[in-house]
Amino acid sequence: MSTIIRLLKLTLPYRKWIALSVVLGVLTIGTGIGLMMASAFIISMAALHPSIAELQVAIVGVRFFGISRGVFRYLERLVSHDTTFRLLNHFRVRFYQAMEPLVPARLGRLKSADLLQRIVADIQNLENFFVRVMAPPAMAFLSGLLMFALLWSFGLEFALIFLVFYLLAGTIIPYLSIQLSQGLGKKITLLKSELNVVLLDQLNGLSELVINRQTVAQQQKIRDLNQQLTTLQKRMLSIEALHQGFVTLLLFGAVTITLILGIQKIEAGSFNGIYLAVLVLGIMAAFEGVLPLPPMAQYLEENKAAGQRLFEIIDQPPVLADPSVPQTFPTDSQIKIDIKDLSFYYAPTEQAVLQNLAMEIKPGAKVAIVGPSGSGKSTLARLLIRLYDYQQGHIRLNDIELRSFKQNDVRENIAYAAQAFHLFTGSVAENLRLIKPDGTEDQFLEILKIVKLDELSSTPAEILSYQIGEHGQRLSGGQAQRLALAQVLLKNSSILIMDEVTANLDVETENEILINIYAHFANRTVINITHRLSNMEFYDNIFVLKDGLLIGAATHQELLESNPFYKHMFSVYQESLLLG
Amino acid sequence: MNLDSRLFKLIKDLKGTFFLTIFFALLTAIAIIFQAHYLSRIIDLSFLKKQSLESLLPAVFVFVLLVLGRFLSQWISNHFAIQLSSRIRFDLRNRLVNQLHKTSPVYLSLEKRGELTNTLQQGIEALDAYFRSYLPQLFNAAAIPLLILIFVFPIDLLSGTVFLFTAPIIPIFMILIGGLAKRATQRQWKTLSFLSAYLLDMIEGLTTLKILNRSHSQLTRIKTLSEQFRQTTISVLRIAFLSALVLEMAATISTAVIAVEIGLRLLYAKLPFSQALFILILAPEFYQPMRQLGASFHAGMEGFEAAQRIFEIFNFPFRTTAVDQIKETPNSFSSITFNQVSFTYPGSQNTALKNINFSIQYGKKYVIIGTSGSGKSTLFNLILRFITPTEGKILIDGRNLQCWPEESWFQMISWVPQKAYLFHDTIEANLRLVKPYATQKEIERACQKARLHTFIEQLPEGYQTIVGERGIRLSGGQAQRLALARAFLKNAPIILLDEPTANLDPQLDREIIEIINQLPKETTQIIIAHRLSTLKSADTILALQNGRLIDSGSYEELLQPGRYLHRMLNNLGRGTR
Repeated sequence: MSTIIRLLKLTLPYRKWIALSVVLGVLTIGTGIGLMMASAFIISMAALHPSIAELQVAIVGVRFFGISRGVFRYLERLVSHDTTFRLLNHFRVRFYQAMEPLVPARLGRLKSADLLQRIVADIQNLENFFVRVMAPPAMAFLSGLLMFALLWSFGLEFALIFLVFYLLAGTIIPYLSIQLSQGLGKKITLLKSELNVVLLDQLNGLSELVINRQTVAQQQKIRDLNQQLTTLQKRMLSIEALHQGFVTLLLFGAVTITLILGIQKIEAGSFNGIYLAVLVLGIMAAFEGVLPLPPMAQYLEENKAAGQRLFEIIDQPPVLADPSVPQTFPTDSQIKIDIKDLSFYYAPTEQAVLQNLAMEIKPGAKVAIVGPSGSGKSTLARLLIRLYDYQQGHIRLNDIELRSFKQNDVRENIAYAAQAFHLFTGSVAENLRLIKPDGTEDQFLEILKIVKLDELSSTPAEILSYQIGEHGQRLSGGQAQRLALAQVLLKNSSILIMDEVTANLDVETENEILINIYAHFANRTVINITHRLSNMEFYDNIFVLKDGLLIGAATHQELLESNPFYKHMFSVYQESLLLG
Repeated sequence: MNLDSRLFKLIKDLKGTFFLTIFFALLTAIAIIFQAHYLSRIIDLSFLKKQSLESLLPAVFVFVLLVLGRFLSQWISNHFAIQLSSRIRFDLRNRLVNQLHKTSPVYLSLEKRGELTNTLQQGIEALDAYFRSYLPQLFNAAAIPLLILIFVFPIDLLSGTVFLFTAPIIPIFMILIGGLAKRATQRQWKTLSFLSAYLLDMIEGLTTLKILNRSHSQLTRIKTLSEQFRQTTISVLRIAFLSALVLEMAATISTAVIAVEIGLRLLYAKLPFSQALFILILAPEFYQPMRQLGASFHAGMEGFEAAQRIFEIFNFPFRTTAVDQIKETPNSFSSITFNQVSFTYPGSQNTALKNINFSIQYGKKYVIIGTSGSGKSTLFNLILRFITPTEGKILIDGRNLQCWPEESWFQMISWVPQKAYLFHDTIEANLRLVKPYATQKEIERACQKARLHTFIEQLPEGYQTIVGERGIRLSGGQAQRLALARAFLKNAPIILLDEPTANLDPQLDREIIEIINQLPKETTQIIIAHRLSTLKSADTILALQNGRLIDSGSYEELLQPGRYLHRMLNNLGRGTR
């Protein structure tokens, strides 16, 4: 339950809006009660044929309730939606804020797309928290209280009868249906994800299934899961229907007992018969308060699970901390990088990704880091921009330990074009403005020219306003990679690290872009991480990594002569050019 | 109105269930009417006729029975609605799955799989609201008010008339304002979902933002944007919610009108009290079904839209259209001949393969080379019958491949793609896929040949280890070996191998080559090659360029001046120098 309490605490800044929305909801139910009670009063009174003047007040009441109920309903919907938006915005910002320091070291490796998608879905799920989970019980409680007070004015017995049935409908019945549906809900979620796995298997593995004549077996597998899911869903829906049925039953239970008590009291002369219809119709209207409770059970469960997962994530302490007295980052672009005895593992239980690494990169040097995937190339880059902290050894910039700089300073001055990147929905210019909000169009165009993205269109305006689609879907793989590269280049940092940025490009484009970049960064340090060994003659130094170990550091010619591993890599690269 | 004949067809076999849903809903309505009748009578008898509780007990008893009857028939109606919706969804999902199994993997790969699974999951779930509430509600909204009118008119003409004239207000306004408001709301929900998409985008891109050192500045932007969106949304909803206002008012104001109208006539003794009360109690019930219809309209709409996508899937093209299938099930062949074969992907301008002529002899090794996009995988897809030649024929011993029974053709083929798909199941099940009744010995032997056995053995669960998302992930090299192990296990006469690209690690690279070389010599091997060493061992090399077969011959032949390999190697030499 503590998850729900924590979620409730998160809503505290908006308590006024929440209160207003709940009050409007209660007024809507209240005017409904008023309408029916006043109407019943008119009819009962009229049956005694008094003068019309005696009905005047009730008639005005009926008119008032008839009109105001619509108005209250309208305002309630408006305010509750407004509150929902406010809360959702608040939730998003809060979770974004809490997650920022945890990415990516705490949230797994860089390729944790599944996890992020789940987080996003969980936050989205909280959209229902106010309207479906918080508001209904609050409104049910307050409108019940209102009716209780109203009925008390006719006699405490009437009020108590109502209270018993209303409480049953508002607490015991929802509790039972939550209990009954709880286990079911979990099983359904589980089955759904199982079904999802099998369906994905079917779609992604269709070739294998067809060739090996296993489609029928797979169909049967899906059919079985589908059968189980359908059975559980039916049970779940039945519980919900039964819940609603019982609420009606309790409503008429309250009506019947009130009738019996009323008739008895009229008989005994202790109760004016005019009010019998008034009470009965009032009670019928009052049960409107407990009607939205049945679906609440399900949402409560979902929100609780979502909240739990979110809190679990954001409760983790960040891995990296800024030093209490940070060093100022060297402002001149001449930075010497010195790596000594560097070892790193992602988790103590895992094998070290880098072992006793030693490298020296001179100011303004152009170097390449090559090696098979899994050799630790990208990890080294992540350490250099302080996404992770190394456990052993040193990385020194101009003889100052990397750890003694502020994270923001490091990332501002060391630009990293990552292999896995994310482009944002919108135009090319918007994606660039994200990096440089005050950048001019000319600056943007200049950078786009470097990465040869000016091919997107013939006019500058069209290039900049080109909509790249969700996750850059409207760009080809190579174009997306180049736009991500343009973002990095725009930062104008003193060190540039490129990580497989030319993987999706043809050799010609690759060459042209690299020439442009090296011209642009002529005096600054560039580290190119790659497994495509093109233009290797160009580099001042080539570091060869294998299984986290440095097995070679020299120029291209020297490596070809002395390093068989490098030689093999080079011939594989040449074969790939020939055979694709 | 969200009606679609294709959706109605789904009910065709479940007409009985649908009828029962409606029938019991109407029965519920009748119980409600009689309940109102008894309630008003009891109050009348006590209040005006001053009858004792004792004499009223039978009437109270009937009232209680009616309450129970209403509860029961409502429950039964719901039960049938649930049956109906569950059955339709169950069948539909199975039918979709079967349909997808009959389509070509090649066409399927053009679709977004995530979106497809989403349709198979949530899309079908969305139909629940349509069949369980929207559709029955549509009937109820028409039938129940009519039923109430039948009872009210004989009692009081005026109230009946008020009902009759106010009733259409709700649907009319729902259509008038509703249509307008719906568009406005939809537009707004779209902008709203744009906002949430924007925020999701930011969270998904958080690592990138952090790398670019822009994660902090984005937070302020998110805040201001959210606030702007909230304000514009609310100003639109202010108008959109007017429909809710009108709906609510139509119901409450007419209740108020009826109360005053019958009240006044009661006053002048033109109407008995019990009848007046009866009408008043029924007034909210009269409008209830229409309001419920309004409430389920949106959910129904969602189901309706999901259905459109579902029906699209039923139009996916089938894999093969075997015309005159040959009766016998051959299990061997001596030649495969491509006779003027061309293929164009649907919707594409370029021919993927053009006028291909060549012949494959049993027991020989063929290697296909060419740059990406030259048509290598299209050639494979044709042999796998995932696609049918747009022109020309593929002949197996002179008989059209399309006439062969799919079963017997696939029995002869082992397919080893570069990236074998691993099912979320045990390693054993992933191997057994190619030979369901293989013995444990056979499986282990295949894995030994693929040099995977030792690795599997040292896993805590051995061959029972689950692979995939919730199990262990196999490395790229291990997945390649598993694909090769499948080929060893299936031991089919034809092997289609898309050779794994060379590993940068020389040792691992050598191992894969050695494994591939162990594939049984007596098989017919067709290999898309990525290594020079593979070319040397081929009987025939087929060189593809832009969909045309531009050269073929042995390795030595193709190295002659002017031939394909000679030209390519020359180009390569120039490029790197």
